[in-house]
Amino acid sequence: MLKLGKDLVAASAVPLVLSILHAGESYGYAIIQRVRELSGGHMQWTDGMLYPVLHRLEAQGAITSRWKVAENGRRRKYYALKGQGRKVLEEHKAQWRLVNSALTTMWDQPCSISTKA
Amino acid sequence: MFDLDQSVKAWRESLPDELRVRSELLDELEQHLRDDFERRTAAGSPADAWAAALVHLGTGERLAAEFAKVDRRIWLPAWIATAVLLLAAGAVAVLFTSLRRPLLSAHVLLVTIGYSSVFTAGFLAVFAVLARGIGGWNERQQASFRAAGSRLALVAAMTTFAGVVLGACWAHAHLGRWWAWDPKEIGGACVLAWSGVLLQCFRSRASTPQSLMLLGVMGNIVVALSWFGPLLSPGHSYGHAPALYGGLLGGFLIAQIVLVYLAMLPAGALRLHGFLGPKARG
Repeated sequence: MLKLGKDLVAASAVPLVLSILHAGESYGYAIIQRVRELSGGHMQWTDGMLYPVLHRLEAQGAITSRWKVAENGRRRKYYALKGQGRKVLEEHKAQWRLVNSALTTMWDQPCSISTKA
Repeated sequence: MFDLDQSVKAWRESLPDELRVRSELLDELEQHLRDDFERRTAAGSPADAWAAALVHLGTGERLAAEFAKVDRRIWLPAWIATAVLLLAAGAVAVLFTSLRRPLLSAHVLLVTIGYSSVFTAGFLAVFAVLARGIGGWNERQQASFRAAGSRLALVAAMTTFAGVVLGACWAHAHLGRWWAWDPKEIGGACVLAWSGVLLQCFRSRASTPQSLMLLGVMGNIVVALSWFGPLLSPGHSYGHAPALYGGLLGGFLIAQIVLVYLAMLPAGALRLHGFLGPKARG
């Protein structure tokens, strides 16, 4: 199985969380399960590391939280995207698309890796 | 036989102090563990499922370190208070190093830093009381308040103790006695005792956030009376207080008493029909 580097996992945490919350409010455990699902299990987070990310985003005003009783009767803390969070997500999207475009262009070119000095 | 509730309790007890005082965060992490446990029990024994859930959540120390990074960035009042305290200490240092009585200068400098530290913790407590009153108070701010208060209380206790000892040495050398229970000395002893109480309470897990706010505000009363009260006592040797002085001190003390009352109100009690601040979180 392809294992993603620690730095890449850390860098993608915020855009992933914001993207998941863009689809609707969610709670920590469900967000982690969604990340696993989206990455086909390649992206392995230490579960506890998600919560500091969520709390930081909340402190920055990108997301908001509230306690809610779920259908199974369990009390859970749900997070939802705020207007500021949508802007942050748009910035992340633009940055990641730029990186993706640059790498794709490089790798799709024939003999793209030059060894000339 | 595996007991989930007992395991959850043991896990909560095993966490570092800085996490254990954050009940809302612990509730959130506990729900995560219970969800993960539930999913894993389908594939294995409860004990194995619990062990795996714990491993995936990460160690308490690592979680505490990550949350410390989040908390460090957010509480502006603590940074402002620290900057004001440093500026005040710097100004007093510059003023008194120009005097030719090093023992007395050092005593005044240390006592000023000590008393100002208790005042600074009091300022943070006033901010906390008002923020809680309008419902804009959360667990992260609570944790930052506790951490800042603990550091300020430590500075206050150490510098006040050193300042009181140096004051006694100066009194012995110049007045022929170590201690005479005059109003300033009683004030110094009171601030030292209060700093010790603050230090113990801010470090204790048993102290509730509300009790810390109350202690911080009451510290303002102790320091104001200890520092400025002696000037009002008849026959003292510290010079005459202007007529307005008593009124200002009295007004300050009454404001602190009102704040003590506000600290006792439920969170969000100062919010007027939702216009004054966000909804309370408890």
